Amino acid sequence: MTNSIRQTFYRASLNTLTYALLFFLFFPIAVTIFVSFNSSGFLLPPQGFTLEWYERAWSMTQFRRGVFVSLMLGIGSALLANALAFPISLALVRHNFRGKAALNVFVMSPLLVPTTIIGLALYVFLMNIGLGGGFVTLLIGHVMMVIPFAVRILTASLSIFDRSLEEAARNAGASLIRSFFSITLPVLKTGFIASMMICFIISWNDFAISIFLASSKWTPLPIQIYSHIQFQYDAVSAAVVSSVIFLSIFAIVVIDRIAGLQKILSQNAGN
Amino acid sequence: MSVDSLIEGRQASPPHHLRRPGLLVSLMVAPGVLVLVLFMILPLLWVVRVSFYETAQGTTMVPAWVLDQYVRFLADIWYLRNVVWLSVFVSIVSTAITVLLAYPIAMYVARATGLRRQILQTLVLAPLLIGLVSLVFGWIVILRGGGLFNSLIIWLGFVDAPIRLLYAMPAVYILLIYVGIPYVVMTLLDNFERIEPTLLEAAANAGAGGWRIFASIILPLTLPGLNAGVLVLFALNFSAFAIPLMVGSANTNLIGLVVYKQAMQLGNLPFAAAISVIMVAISAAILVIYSRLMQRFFLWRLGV
Amino acid sequence: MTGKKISLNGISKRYGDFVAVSDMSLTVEPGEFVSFLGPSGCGKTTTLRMIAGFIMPDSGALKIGDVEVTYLPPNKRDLSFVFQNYALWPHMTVAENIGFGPKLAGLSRADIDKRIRDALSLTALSGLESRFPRQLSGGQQQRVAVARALALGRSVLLMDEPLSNLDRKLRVDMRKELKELQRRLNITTVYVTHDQEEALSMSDRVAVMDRGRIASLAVPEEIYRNPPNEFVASFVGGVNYFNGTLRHVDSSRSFFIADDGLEFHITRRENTPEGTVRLMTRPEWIVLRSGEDKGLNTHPVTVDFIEYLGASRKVSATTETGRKLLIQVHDVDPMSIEVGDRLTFHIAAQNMMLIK
Ligand SMILES: Nc1ncnc2c1ncn2[C@@H]1O[C@H](COP(=O)(O)OP(=O)(O)OP(=O)(O)O)[C@@H](O)[C@H]1O
Ligand SMILES: [Mg+2]
Repeated sequence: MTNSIRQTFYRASLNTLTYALLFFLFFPIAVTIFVSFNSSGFLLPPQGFTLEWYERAWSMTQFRRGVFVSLMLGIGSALLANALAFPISLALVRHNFRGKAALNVFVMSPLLVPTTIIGLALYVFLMNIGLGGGFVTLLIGHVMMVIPFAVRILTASLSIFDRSLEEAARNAGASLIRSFFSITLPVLKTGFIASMMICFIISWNDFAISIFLASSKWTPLPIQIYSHIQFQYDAVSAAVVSSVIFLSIFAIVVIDRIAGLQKILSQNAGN
Repeated sequence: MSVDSLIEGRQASPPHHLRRPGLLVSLMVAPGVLVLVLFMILPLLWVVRVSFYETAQGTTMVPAWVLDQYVRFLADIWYLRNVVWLSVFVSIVSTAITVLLAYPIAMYVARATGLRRQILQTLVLAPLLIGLVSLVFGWIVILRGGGLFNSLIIWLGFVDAPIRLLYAMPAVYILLIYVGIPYVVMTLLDNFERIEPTLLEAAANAGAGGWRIFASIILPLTLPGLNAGVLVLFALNFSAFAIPLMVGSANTNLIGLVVYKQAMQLGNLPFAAAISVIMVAISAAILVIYSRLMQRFFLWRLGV
Repeated sequence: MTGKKISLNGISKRYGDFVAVSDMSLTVEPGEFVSFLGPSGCGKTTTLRMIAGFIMPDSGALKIGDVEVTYLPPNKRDLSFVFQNYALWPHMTVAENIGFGPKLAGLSRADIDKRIRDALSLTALSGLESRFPRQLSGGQQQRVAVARALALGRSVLLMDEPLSNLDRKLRVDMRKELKELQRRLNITTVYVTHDQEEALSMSDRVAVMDRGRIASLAVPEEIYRNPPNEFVASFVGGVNYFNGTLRHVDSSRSFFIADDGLEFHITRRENTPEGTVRLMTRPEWIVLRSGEDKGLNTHPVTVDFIEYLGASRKVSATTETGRKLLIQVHDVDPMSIEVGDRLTFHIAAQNMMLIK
């Protein structure tokens, strides 16, 4: 009897603690979104719902430019990283060769090196070979950063791919290339989408690498936001930040539905 | 190969590519490996190289093979105390608190099932994919002088005037912990999932109560995951620069931030490079010591 | 379509030090149905996949019809393959799955449609054209796999345990359907299974495989009634062995004394040696009778154990000489049997077979 009361008590404390912590995790995000829709901005009590901050925010050229740069970066790095990662994943999953384990560690290495050092290294190196300060600089940095994620997701979806599907196509008369394009790629589609989206969203939200590689002409949105809130925090910045959060949440939900968030993120290097 | 076999497509021996699978693999991995070597490995080696340069007139790089930069950092008690020791201290404390908070969340989420589990899991893991700048912004709103937290404690009568949280050490701690929790939860979830429910039932059957089961089954079995989480989180926290840059002050010079400032604000690349190398060395040393201790005292039992 | 001959000549495949298929030679005649039967891991799938070209043999030669195909890529071989897990392309409808091969073969739209229609009606699938594989039951998926293979219009059909994922009743129905289809189309077929009933009921000849080799290749009756060795004998059904001495009595009869003294008159066959031999008989070839019966090939037994199987009863019994026997009694037999009963058993003279 007492035992079960104790149990209930422990369980209740665990629940309370967990919900307090979940609150801790979500409060800052909720506050930001709240402020972005509150017509009195930061001031309490709330005065009512408004989209004014969003209008103001998205009429500012620096944010529009930031969105443009970030979109280009996100899409570009997702495409490039997947193009590079796919053949590697194919080799890792389907072939046995010497140095396979080493290759696996090697392609994951960008996750193992602190972002400060990757940022610094790329900054110093690219400047030295005359590639400093442009879009390409940022793109290279972002591709390096997302390659490990692309490899991880693509190897995961390749390893559950049923190879008899390809054999059936070969048996039906398809050449290797035909079977690859008619069967392999379409069946792996969801894996590719998940991989692209993860790469995109990591690039879209990146701060650590971008701050080293951004130039005044090519400034991704997070850096743009950072320089804005360094000097003023207004409801306009809340609106920009909320927009970024909404896009991220959308991506998170889609990725989770397609591929399962936890599976993909294990070993994610945070910030 | 005879003409006949060319026309008929017949072959008397295995075709070439079947005998040389190595070539195919090389072709497949070459582009990615090349890119990684060119833009990861070479730059990293370059950093090491630059760390041995001399500097003239403050920051101009002069190619050389000298230890000037290392000596400048390691011989300066200010750097050792206010940067190295501070980073070690902050990263250990924040990692410890993060793990303590993340553990019950992970246990709770792992216990949930079905849709509830799905929602909880997505909620906990979402901050990993919401950018740092967005998360920091929310905390700025909460922590700044006239922000929510200060208004609240003034209203509750705990203090009379706003206390300084933002652009100071408390904000750095809060954000390191905040960003670390989802990460550790995720590492732990894997481990919680792998615990067979029958193990717990067997323990209960053997007469163990809730705490006993926790202490002698759950905790030991999740220790490897916890350990992995601790290792990576410590490394991340130790080299953190974005968080102290955004919410810290001149008194929160974690070593990663010093690298950033030296390189990007003061333009002293050789010095920044040398500090990076020192940062990696210290971080690796601490991780090795930690692993040895863990192995010695806990993990050998689990055969890991 | 008419079937083509398949010839395997000394085909071998090793994985590292492990020999999966060892020096295998076999000819499957045009239109013939041959099964590979054998325990798990004996190399059935490996052999079939070498014929299909999914894996290349280490040595040996392979012909389909008169064409040497040993190292030809799979898309250049005149054969179709039905996979154990069906391998239906999940992103294509039933019609697209079936039409993929004909389309690659460069058929006109009208011909492709005709192939699809024919294949669907052959497999009784009409109406399911626009479903995706995930919207089909296991049995329907299996039919689509067969339809897709048939639509290729090839001369050889290879099937790797195509029925093993179906429940028992469906499996039994499907094996009749498949067999009829095969006979109608006269397509040369190699069929892999580890279900002996399936192999015996469908095949013209059965190849029983053991550790990468063919242990026996013969028509089903021969495999079952007169297996060449113990491995084959015990793989295709229950079996009782008798060691003893054989003497020929005249041109049609022999006399056998088992080691424990039991005596039997048995039918004399060609090439049967005299002297120490080993005989076998199947549980259902033994007849149980009430206790009093005496006569040729009849000896007393005591019932130890009875397993009721519905259609029949499996009886374990011990002779007076201490020999354990396995006897299968069909349920038409009105005799009620109880554990402990003292009965007699009888084995007809033609029902004791020599084992080498
Ligand atoms: N790629 C491979 N690498 C190593 N060994 C293999 C490989 N493929 C098959 N083998 C081995 O070769 C042997 C024969 O395999 P095979 O798949 O032909 O067996 P099978 O007769 O089809 O068995 P089952 O009835 O279980 O399907 C097995 O022992 C298997 O472990
Ligand atoms: Mg098999």
